[in-house]
Amino acid sequence: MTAKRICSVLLLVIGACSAFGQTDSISINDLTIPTSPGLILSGSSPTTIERPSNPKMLSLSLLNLLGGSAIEFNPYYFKPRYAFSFEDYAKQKFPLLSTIGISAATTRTDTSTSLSVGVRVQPVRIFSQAKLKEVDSIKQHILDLLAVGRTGLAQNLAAIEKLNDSLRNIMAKPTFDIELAGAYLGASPTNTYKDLGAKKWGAWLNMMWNPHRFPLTFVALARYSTLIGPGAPNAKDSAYFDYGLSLSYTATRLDFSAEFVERHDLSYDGSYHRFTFAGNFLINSNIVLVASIGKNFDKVNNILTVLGAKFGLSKEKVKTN
Amino acid sequence: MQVKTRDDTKNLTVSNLSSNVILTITIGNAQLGANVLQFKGAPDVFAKGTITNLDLGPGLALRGKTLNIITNILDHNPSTNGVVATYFFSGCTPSASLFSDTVDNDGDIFSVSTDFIFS
Repeated sequence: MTAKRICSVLLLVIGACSAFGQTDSISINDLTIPTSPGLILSGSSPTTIERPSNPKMLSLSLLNLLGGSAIEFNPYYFKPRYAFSFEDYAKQKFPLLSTIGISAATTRTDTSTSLSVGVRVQPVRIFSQAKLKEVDSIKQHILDLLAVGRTGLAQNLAAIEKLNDSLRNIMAKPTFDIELAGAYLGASPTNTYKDLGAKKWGAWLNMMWNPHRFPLTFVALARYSTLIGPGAPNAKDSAYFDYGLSLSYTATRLDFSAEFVERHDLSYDGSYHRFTFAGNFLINSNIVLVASIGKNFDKVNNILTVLGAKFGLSKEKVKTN
Repeated sequence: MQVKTRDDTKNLTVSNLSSNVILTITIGNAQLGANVLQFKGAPDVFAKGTITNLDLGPGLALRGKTLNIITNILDHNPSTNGVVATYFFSGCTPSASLFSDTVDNDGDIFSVSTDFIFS
């Protein structure tokens, strides 16, 4: 499919979506599963996160957690997996246990205490044969650089790090994957855990289809969150269900993305949505044409369209993405 | 990126002197690793890279020799900093030697150098 045809299809999608009603400021990124769901729900941003690698370290981390800290771990690797090779990992289509991640955080002040716990898992992850070949090629380069003595290894570190980053990026974008997460937040009006009560919980679902060597990526996301417990206010957004779709295209000179997010406010039984489209076209290394269209304003049925150009004076190569 | 190192010594008894000793090294925990093998006193590297069913020669000829294996393991798996390896020597006792440790930071390398002494 040529870029022109893809553009036409996307503009039709934009037109169709513009027929919907109001919008809000929720972005598709807000629906993405957080790396540590337990930490996100509490709203805390701990400076250090303990990552215990065995049960003994976990017990120490749990003691620290009660005092106010954050932990993140994968219990599958508490036992050394001597026979679980990288090849096994890459070819696992249902990596339920090897991808499970548990996160927890506590915050304590003189007057309050909170505890949040979250779980994230990737139950389905499929790489195409072509992508596995690409993975194998990078892996072989890394192995060649590792198959040296310690002096040679020191000289290869920069190259190994770069290749490891590339390999992780590829492994993070399977051809198709499903991710699930859930988190719970408990809070206490005192500075003890004795009075801890349920306050909020949330769940996330991500599905991504990223065809190999095909410029389009399709993403579907959903999120549910609600305040619970006796003190839960019945205010706007205290309980909601969000879902969204995203489409992105990246080529050498042209890239664009379109996203649609719908929110159902379950407290008020109302719904509103947001739609945006953004595109860039690289004319040369110094000039980029930009365009964006969006229905992004609550209670107002307006469409914002911006066309413009970005000029750069740097000699560095400009990337459109 | 840092390299953590460890040096080990393991004693192996050749239990079958008439047959050849075969070596396989596996890297677990979904990490990436490669090896360099050299007999002590030998001028050249015996083998390097991924080691699967490598023929080390007749058991009788191995007695009294020391095989140094450097295994460099890259922490690729973001879910764990644990690095593990297994050395299988057919016709030797013990037939399997296990290595398990952790790197300090995500993405680091562990370099373990082990002298396997055959008797």
